[in-house]
Amino acid sequence: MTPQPCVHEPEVVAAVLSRRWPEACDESLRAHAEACEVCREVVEVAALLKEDYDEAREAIAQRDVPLPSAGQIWWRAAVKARVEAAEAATRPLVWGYGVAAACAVALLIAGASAAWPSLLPAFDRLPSLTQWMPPVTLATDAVMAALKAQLPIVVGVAAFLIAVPVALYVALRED
Amino acid sequence: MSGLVLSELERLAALEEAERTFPMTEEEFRAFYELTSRPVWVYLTRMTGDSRLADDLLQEAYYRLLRTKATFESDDHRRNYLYRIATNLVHDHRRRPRADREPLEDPERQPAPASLTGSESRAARRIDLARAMARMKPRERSMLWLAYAHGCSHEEIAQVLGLKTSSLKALLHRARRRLAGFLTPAGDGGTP
Repeated sequence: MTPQPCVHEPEVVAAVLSRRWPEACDESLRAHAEACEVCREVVEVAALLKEDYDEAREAIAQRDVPLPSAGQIWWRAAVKARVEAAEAATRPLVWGYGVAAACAVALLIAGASAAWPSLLPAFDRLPSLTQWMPPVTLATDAVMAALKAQLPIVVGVAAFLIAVPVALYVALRED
Repeated sequence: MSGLVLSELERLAALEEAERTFPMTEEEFRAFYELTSRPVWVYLTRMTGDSRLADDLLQEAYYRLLRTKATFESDDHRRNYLYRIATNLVHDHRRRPRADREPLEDPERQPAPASLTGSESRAARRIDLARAMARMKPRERSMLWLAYAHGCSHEEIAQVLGLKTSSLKALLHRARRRLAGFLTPAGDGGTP
């Protein structure tokens, strides 16, 4: 069922909050509140909350730590606004560092890919170096062959995986 | 706050900048603050159950008010907006993981000795009220407090809580019934 508010509720609340309730308020309002269930409840709740509110306000004066003054709040707000503005101003620069770092990594990868054909002969000598090692398995041979063929890509992917988080960290860290 | 540190000159520049960029002058702010800071602090204390947290939220609320781009027709309008900010800050705090939150028991809200208050029954009533309010939903607490402690109109409460005025009347009525139910000796607050 939809609750039915009483039209006299605002008057009753005003009387309680202004301390006119019950002695100093209108007789007809008092009579109404005695008969109206909603207004009786409003009086009970409003009187308690008002008492609690007044007590809390009085307690402010007795606190160990007083409320900050308007001047303190204004000063801190001004400084905080300034700091936030400075951070906002430097943010594009930090993003620029991140982008530059990512570009440097991309250039490194491109350079390594371009230089790869000239490095291949050196890589071909690797098996002769491994003859002193314990006998290799078929699987190791397969991995070596795959590495030989795809090394620029592997190096590129590894560099990218390392560089991107670093670049993002540099760009997004707060300090 | 950030790790950035401002020099004395920068601090002075910050004050000058504040006069230019904040939507009110320092004098206007002082007058508004004197009028509103105590009621807002009491509201924050009762909504969070923690007076120390209320101190922090009070400062943040005024900071956000000073940084807002909104325009206000009157001080009442500005005050309602401030309560809205305060309410949102309380809700934001409640959404944080529980481990980050302070306990709800407020050390400054222990009942005063009867000899100081002059009435044991008053102290007992306050404890009953605190317990009953703690059992209410956060939004119900806010609307009850604004309606019956601050005397805000339905329109003002609706504005603060972001509700329709027509819905607020029914919600407030239900919340009051629940609170009254919790305040009765065998009160269970009725069905939620």
